Amino acid sequence: MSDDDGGNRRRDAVFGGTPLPPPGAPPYGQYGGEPPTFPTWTAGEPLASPAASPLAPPPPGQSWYIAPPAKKSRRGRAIIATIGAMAVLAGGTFAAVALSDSDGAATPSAAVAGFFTALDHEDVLGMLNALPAGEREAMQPIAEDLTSELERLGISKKVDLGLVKGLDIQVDGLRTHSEDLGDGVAGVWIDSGTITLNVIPQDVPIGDNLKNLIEYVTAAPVVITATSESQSMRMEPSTNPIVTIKDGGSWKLSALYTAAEAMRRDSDAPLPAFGQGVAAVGSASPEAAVRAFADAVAAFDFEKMVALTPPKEMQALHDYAPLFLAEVTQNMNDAAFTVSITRLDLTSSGDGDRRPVAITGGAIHFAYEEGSGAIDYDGKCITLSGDLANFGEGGTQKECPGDVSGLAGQLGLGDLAGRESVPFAITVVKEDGQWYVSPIGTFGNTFVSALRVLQPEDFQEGGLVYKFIDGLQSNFGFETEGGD
Amino acid sequence: MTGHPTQRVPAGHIVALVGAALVVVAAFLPWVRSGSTTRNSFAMLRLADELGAIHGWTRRTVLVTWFIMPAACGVLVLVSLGRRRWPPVVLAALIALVALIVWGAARGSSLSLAYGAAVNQGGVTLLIVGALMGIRARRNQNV
Repeated sequence: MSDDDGGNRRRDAVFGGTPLPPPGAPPYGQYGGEPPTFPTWTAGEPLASPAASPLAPPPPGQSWYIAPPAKKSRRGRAIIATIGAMAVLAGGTFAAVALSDSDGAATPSAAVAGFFTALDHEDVLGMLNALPAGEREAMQPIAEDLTSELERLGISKKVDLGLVKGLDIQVDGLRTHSEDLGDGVAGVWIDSGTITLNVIPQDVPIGDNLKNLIEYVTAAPVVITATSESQSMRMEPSTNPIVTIKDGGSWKLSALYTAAEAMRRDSDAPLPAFGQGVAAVGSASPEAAVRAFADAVAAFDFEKMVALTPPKEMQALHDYAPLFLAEVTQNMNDAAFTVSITRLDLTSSGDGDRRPVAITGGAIHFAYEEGSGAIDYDGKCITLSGDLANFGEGGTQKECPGDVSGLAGQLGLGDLAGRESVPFAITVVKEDGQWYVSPIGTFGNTFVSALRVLQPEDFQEGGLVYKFIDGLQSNFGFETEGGD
Repeated sequence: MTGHPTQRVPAGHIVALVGAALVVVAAFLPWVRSGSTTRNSFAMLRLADELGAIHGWTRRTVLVTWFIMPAACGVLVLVSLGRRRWPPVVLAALIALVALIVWGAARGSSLSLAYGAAVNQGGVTLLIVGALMGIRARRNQNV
């Protein structure tokens, strides 16, 4: 029915191209608002009233008009569409800028400042990010494994890298200046600054086993207080620089370059030609890398040994090696013996870019002026033959892991007998598709492997470490404040 | 003359849009803490990339996808105004999935999570609810 009020409004579904609803059908629902009120009418039947037809003319003096759509909702949609378009534009700009931008330090001084800022905030991740990728990837797994082992043995408590407890470091007034050392290498000297260490003993993650061991050695209880102990150190102008290198487009702080540069300055050697040092020589497989390295060691070929180390991890060694290559080679050539490796059994494991290659067997022949001999390793025992057999303890020719006798036994290490140990392994890394021997990985993992042989009970009273301390005292007269 | 009758934005789309707004806001809030330093989701992913925590094809995919997420939410606003129901439902579900993956990566790390990660989860929930409401409304219309 039509509205016969003063407004004479009536929805007309015909206009706009939308067909009439079928007779008797419910009105369209998607238009919202009040559904149109049409009189029911069946085709062919006479209209009940001309005025009831949707096509009928309006009553005299009145006219049909269609209420315009609500201005509010049309304007609202326009606003939302504008917001959406602006969000797309802003989001796209943000993505383009953020993905192409680099987060790293733009200058050497910024790299050092960034590291000290991370130190000031106890931001372990920031400190790790300040290192070059090669050094960080070598040190980070070792640091994680070492932390895990120390926690297992009760030497430390669980360390949360996100919140290092017990230590608050403040760095104030840091001033530095930088100087280029070569292409992509720069030194940063500290001119002034202050580092303040605040230690809260009760929050330091010292493990119970370590605390008890300290009390045993010192014969005094360890008092852990809640009082903060503060110590400030003024940084004097440094004589040796912190060396930064360009790595991946930003400047990074290199521990190895810093150490190498300090040694160079101490020896008054000239600056090396950065980027033109010993060229890296990789191998096709982990085992091939270890064999090549073993052959270089046997041949006393120091340059080859350097070449077989990872170019990114040991970039400092590759650059600085030419400075002392001649001297080391001469010393090696002066050695009064020769070595040959007659057998080397290797087994690699893992499937990443950093893997251990275990030495499961081998034989080495020595020849020197007074004679010759051989060492044979079958994966468990070491057998000395030839003139080397005379050097075996007690004149023995064969030593196995369970044979803890003599001095080792007197030092209380007998508990190590029979423990399952992991074969010595050399760590290899893959860089740019080639395999190299990693010195940092090898030394670090060897230390961690040694810790894995120990048990938490070894660090408790009556355990192996306590026996070792007692053995030192009784055999070498080292005085401990505690013990027998 | 009349214009086309006005079409209201379905309720499910509105819920999804609120969720998308929350996800965008959360992305710029602190997500992880290292010492006294906090990092938002973008800095967190960039640092994870620098430190080699994400590898291979996932590395670039996760990075690029998350960085274009704010623009994708803007696209969600625009498609929600259209007549078709499926595009906003699918897009809302995709944004929720990516936000969930990034949250899962942060959660699975050894880092301390900050409140931005929690706000992100609220946004993900609303996105999923809005998408489900859109699917349900579509089914009711077809009945």
